[in-house]
Amino acid sequence: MTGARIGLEVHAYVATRAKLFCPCDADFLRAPRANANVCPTCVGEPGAKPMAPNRAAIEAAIALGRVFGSRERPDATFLRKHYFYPDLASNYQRTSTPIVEGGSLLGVRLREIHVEEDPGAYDLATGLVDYNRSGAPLLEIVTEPDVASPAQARAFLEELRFVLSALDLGRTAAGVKADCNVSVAGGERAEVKNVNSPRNVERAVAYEVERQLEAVARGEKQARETRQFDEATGRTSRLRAKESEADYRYFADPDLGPIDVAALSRALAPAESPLARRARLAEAAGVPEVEVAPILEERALADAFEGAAARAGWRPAYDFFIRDLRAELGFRGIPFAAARVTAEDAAALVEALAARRVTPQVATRLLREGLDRGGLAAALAAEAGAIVVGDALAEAARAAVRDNPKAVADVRAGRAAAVNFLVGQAMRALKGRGDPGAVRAAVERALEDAS
Amino acid sequence: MSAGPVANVERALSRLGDDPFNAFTHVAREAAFERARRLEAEGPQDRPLWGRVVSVKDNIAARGMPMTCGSRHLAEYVAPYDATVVARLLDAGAIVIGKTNMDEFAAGSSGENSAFGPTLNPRDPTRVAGGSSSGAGASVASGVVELALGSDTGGSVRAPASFCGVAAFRPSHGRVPRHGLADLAMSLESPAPIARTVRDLAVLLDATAGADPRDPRTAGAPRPRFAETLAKPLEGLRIGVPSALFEGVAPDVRGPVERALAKLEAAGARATPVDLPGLAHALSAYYVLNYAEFASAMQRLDGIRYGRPGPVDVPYEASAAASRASFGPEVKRRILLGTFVTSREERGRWYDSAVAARGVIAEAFARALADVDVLVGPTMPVRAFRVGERVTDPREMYAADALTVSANLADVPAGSVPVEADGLPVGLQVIGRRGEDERALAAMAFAERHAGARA
Amino acid sequence: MPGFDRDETRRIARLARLDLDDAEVEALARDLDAITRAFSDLADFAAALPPPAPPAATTPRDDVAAPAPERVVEAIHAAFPRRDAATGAVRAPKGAP
Repeated sequence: MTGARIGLEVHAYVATRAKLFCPCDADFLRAPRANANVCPTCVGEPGAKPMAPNRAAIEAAIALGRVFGSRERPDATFLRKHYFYPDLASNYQRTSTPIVEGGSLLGVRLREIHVEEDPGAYDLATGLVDYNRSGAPLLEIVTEPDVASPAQARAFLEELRFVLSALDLGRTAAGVKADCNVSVAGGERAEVKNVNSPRNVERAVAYEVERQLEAVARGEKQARETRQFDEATGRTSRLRAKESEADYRYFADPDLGPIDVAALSRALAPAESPLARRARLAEAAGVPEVEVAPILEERALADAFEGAAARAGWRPAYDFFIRDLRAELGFRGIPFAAARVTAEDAAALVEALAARRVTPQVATRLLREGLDRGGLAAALAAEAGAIVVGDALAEAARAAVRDNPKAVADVRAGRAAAVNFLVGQAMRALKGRGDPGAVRAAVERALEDAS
Repeated sequence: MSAGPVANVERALSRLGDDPFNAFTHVAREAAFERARRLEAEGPQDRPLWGRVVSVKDNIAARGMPMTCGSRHLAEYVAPYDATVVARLLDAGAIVIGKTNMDEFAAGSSGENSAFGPTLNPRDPTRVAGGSSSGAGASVASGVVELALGSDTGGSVRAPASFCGVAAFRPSHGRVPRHGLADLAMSLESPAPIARTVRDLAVLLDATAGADPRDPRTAGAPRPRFAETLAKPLEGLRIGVPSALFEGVAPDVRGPVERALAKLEAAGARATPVDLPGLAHALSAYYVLNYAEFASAMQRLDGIRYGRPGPVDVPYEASAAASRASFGPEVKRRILLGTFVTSREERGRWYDSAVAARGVIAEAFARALADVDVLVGPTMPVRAFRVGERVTDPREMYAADALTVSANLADVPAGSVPVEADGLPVGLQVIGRRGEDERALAAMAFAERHAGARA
Repeated sequence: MPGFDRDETRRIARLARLDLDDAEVEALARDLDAITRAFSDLADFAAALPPPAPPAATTPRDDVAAPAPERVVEAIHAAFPRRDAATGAVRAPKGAP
């Protein structure tokens, strides 16, 4: 990859409840039909004004900047970016000046992060426009052209997606999209717009770098241009030239004053960087970072994991969370924060499992029932309390040995089946609440001690 | 003054007749009666505007009523929501009798730029009513309503008030919420009242002013206390008279204004000359900002979400252009100029200069108002001119704004009261310190009392 | 200062998505020229001025969802010039192939 330089402009939805400039529901993926989550502001009706921007969206930029190690600007202003398009409700987009700048992720330097409102969704093929997402808050994350390969581009986006997810910021199902600025051998750059996944970014960048290298080999000069990526063919193609000469006539939106970013930052409690947390938890659990990352993709899940580990140990907690809990949540399509099972419930269950007070099968059953109907804590207490362990178990075994001398004599005489009788007696004394293997072991120990 | 709600509506409609002055774009006959009957059944319930009839300028949204903005483009558009000021008027018990005519998208100062024909001056129907809140002014001057809601960006309620012989007030920016007022120039404008008396201006301001979460520029706005302030006697009013505000003023306006000033002094006010430098640039700065913000505000009109649509079987670009072809010439002119002054190459020379100039002019006003309570001068440089007289040259039209635009640019409260004059009305403009709207209105009341035109 | 010739007028009209016929271009070019000349004092006056104080800061608002009243949403839909009955989407021209 001769001198390939790639810069990314990433758009990521911020998972807020309300839109950026109006209180419409921002969860456009769950809207019942087109144009359901609308109001005069996000449809650009005559006279409608923006409300003060959604604090959570600005805080998202600040929180992300902290992970990157960026500098915060003291304030940010919303500008109007003017262009005409069917999905742009006011035919200008409100976009902020940088909120943070500098810092880096995976060796790729960040230029800046700002916040902007999403246009609606315009289907070119049908001409249909849906304003459910119009006004939804977006983070735009702009890097320096430090990315040197398609694989690195993908890795960066996947890492960014992990960070957004771990901070509970990203609307995961909506994914991240990137405009990729690609140049080779010190030539001009081509911008490949709107590539919709890390995997496609890798493909688009790979194609584009090769295309440009071949052009250079033919003696052609790369001009500054805008291109689009075709997912089906894996190729990029030139968009109409006039896309590149847009004059957006930026000026500060007169309806909004500047935002005091410094004040917001002071009020935003510091949180452990997801990168640091991933490293810490991986080491504690004794697994590679990539294998603990899935648990961190939701903050509530990661918090619950640490709580369970504190009670039951890292390994049992890890095994249970990475396998059972994630599988059951995934199957039900819910985040842990929305589950009927609480962090406390999960910790208690892992502890009971680790202490063998419940069998793995019982634990799975309790987890499923807990997720489906709630009441895990009570069900666990009932089940786990059903299995006697420790001294009470040893005492029942000793009592069985003490109270049944004939059976003991039979055992000593070599009739192994007599042990079953003693196990049965101990079980009866325990009212059936004994793990069969543990009871047998306790009876055998009691026999040894008595001899 | 008012009997009951239903009687008020009857009287208003009877005065309206067939709207000979073309003041209204929409008369809500049935809706007004229905509302009046309901209000009568409910009784006042402490509502300050209970049963009173108001007219609302057609660039302010009243849900279920047309909102044409004086344009062909929005001729069929029905507002889907209430502007905050309308919602507040309704909460106060008012009855919206209809929407008033205006210069198209508020681009004008005479009332001649409406797609529905010019509004005529009730004092002389061969003459203009003044604009852009032309219908609002005429609806009050002709006695159809006592209360009208207009908007003021550069004099748009003060001009009709001056020409039609009624009173109007432009509040400081951010006192009265703009959510629901179709933008002309966001940083310059505000909903603004027109009424026969300063007292009624106060009533409208008290009902509509105050912070609104849907307009962040009103954050921190104080609770309005207009009527309360008028109730207190005004002592020792100090009036500043800037010669700059008398420049280019016709003798038949200067005379009545000077006589009015003399009456105010006789009544105990003290008038002193003050300097108001930089006003020569106010018109340029105002119009550059106006154009820039207007072009931006008008971007949203492409016939996709509302308004007159373009064809659907051509590319979007062509469809949007076809939709926007219905704009009148002044609107197109301003859009072109606004696009020009914010374009990449021209921004520094034009838009940024206007923003900088604005700061200087605001300071000039603050300094002029440092040792006096208000500045006073004529509202308009001329009396109402004849319909058609000035339409050909836009610069002549702009010159009529010269005395009013600087208040919007400097963001100071300013109002107009009619003073004694033979023949066509003459308005006296009273300008207060920024944010001291209640005091400015009190000064207007003083002027009305001692120099006001007899009704 | 560049005057407003017909080409310049057409270029700006395109940027503003305004279709102008030849007569309009002619008339508007003249108007724009006259108006910008009249206001050309501005750049010189403003040249030495410091940038003005920024407007008052806007305090961001809490992240609370509050849907618009149903009657407002319906009225917004009713104002769409063209609506796809099946999906509720707005019908705009199709994109370029």
